[in-house]
Amino acid sequence: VKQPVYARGNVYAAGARPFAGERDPLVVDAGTASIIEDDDAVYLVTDLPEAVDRVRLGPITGRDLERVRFPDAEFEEPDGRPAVIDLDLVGRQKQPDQTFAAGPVADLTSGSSRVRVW
Amino acid sequence: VFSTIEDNHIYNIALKREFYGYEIGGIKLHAAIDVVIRHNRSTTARSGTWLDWQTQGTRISRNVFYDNNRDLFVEVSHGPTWSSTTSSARGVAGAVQPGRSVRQQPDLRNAAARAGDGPGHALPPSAQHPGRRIRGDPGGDDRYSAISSSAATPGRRTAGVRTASVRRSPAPPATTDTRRRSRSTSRSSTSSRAATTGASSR
Repeated sequence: VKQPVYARGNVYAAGARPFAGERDPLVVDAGTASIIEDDDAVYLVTDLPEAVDRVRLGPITGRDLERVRFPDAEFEEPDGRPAVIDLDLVGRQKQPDQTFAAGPVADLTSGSSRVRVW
Repeated sequence: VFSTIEDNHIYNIALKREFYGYEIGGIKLHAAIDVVIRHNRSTTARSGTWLDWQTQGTRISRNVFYDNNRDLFVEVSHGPTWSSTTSSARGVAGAVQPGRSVRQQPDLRNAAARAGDGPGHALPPSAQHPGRRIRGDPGGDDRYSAISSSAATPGRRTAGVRTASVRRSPAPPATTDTRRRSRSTSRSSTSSRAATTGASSR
């Protein structure tokens, strides 16, 4: 039995293509993203077009996600509250009343940037 | 079960094919139940993180995966599984039966592949086996949200995205002759797979 796949709020650049069933993905032609190692550090180096700034999202919680079908379970924290995904890759805390970039780095914007990710 | 794996730098895992077969990865777990995999850096491994069978309530967050043959693979698992705010530069494959995951990373490849049957577990989070089995099916029931992706550039460590339906190749029989042949043709078979899925970052 095929299961549904839900996708939203995503940005695709430089030839990346969205999942065929996704509604309203943002697809931009330009943009680069590279991983650079420098001693023990890892940097995400990006150059993104202005259009990517149009996608802004609040932190995702278990309330935003469809119930998991087979175990009939919600996405929950260990104490049973709805899951909260509010810490980005670099440890930035996302506030529930604010919006952030798509992807793992909440403060990522268009133009050139270099972010230490590890 | 109920463990946390965090702050590790994992690299050069099974690249020489010292052991031929499955079950090797930077982090490889069966039956990861309520496991937290957090803030690890996994590179140059056959699989950065490979969760195989019965994954339930496991949270994968704030990890950096790159230069792996495959970054994240959640296989034959019923979920819920979360991979969030994880930076992946290569590929995520999910052969999830039935797949129950939410993912937020810049590179994903959802492999709607059939695999074997896996046992489910009782809820609330528990390792107790209720005795029912998950039948293999084409996967799905995934959620992809807030992904930021860009396509791979050949020869560079570049974030890429491929969302493709790929079927895993069957494992070759473990005979001496097959192993030798498999080793000598591994380059061409890798290229052929890359052409099928659009992978081109190496």
